[in-house]
Amino acid sequence: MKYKLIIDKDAQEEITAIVHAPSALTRQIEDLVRGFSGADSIMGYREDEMKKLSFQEIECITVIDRKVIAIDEAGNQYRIQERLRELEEILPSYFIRINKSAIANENGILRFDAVFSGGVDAVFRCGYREYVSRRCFAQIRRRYERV
Amino acid sequence: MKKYALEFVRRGLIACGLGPIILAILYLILQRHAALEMLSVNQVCVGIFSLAALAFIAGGMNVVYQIERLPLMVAILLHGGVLYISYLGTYLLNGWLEQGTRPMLVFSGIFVIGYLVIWAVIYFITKRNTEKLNKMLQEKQQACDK
Repeated sequence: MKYKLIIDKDAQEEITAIVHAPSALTRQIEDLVRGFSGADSIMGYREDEMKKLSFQEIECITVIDRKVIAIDEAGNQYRIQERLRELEEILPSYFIRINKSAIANENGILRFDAVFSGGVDAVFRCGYREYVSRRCFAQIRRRYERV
Repeated sequence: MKKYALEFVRRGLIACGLGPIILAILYLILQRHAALEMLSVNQVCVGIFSLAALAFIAGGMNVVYQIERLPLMVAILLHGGVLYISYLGTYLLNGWLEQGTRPMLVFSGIFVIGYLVIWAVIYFITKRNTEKLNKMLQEKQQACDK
């Protein structure tokens, strides 16, 4: 792998990595760049508590009772002020849409479960389950097949 | 919900024209095989209206597969249940199915078996696809942990 640094004061600053497949390195680079620009976390609210949630510790972001909720590794639920569509634009590439109202951290997914009703659930490390829509299931499959 | 109700009507309206056409083809086939010679005005009208209604329901019910939250099996069950009632009603109304316990049981049995087969096939396909996806997920997670 080569390392290339281009210094150009007139160009917009960006880091581009050309790789064969996502790896621990690409994830670290992505987190580093987001951390450097201050876009590696969101604010979560729970009762009187306000917590800065780093993207790595969030396992799933879903809509419960019309509120956007982030679920962390311990299963704690935090209310988020941003909308899902807004979050989708700022979240790292390891976050994937699993249905119309949920985004999952793929590193937080323990497994996918086929349920008898014919659907598929994503089971997270914290124990939380969320259904995977048929459309998103096909998208996730295509995403992994490309890698 | 309103969105799906409107979609049901839209799909139903597109499909309902096919009902009478299928009925006409059926009558022609029966006539060719000398199974049907004469039809009364009443029989033709009931046939046309009931088949148009059946096609409307069958076409409209496809909307259940558009409801993202609804698991496939539940959608199939709902779709199958409504189709079963619609087909049974149409057959009885047109006199294509003899009234009585035995013909009804045979009809219901064939319908249920057909749906159970579809259900089992879909469950095993989903299970197999899920296992494949789990394997790919594990490989990706292992690659990212390295």
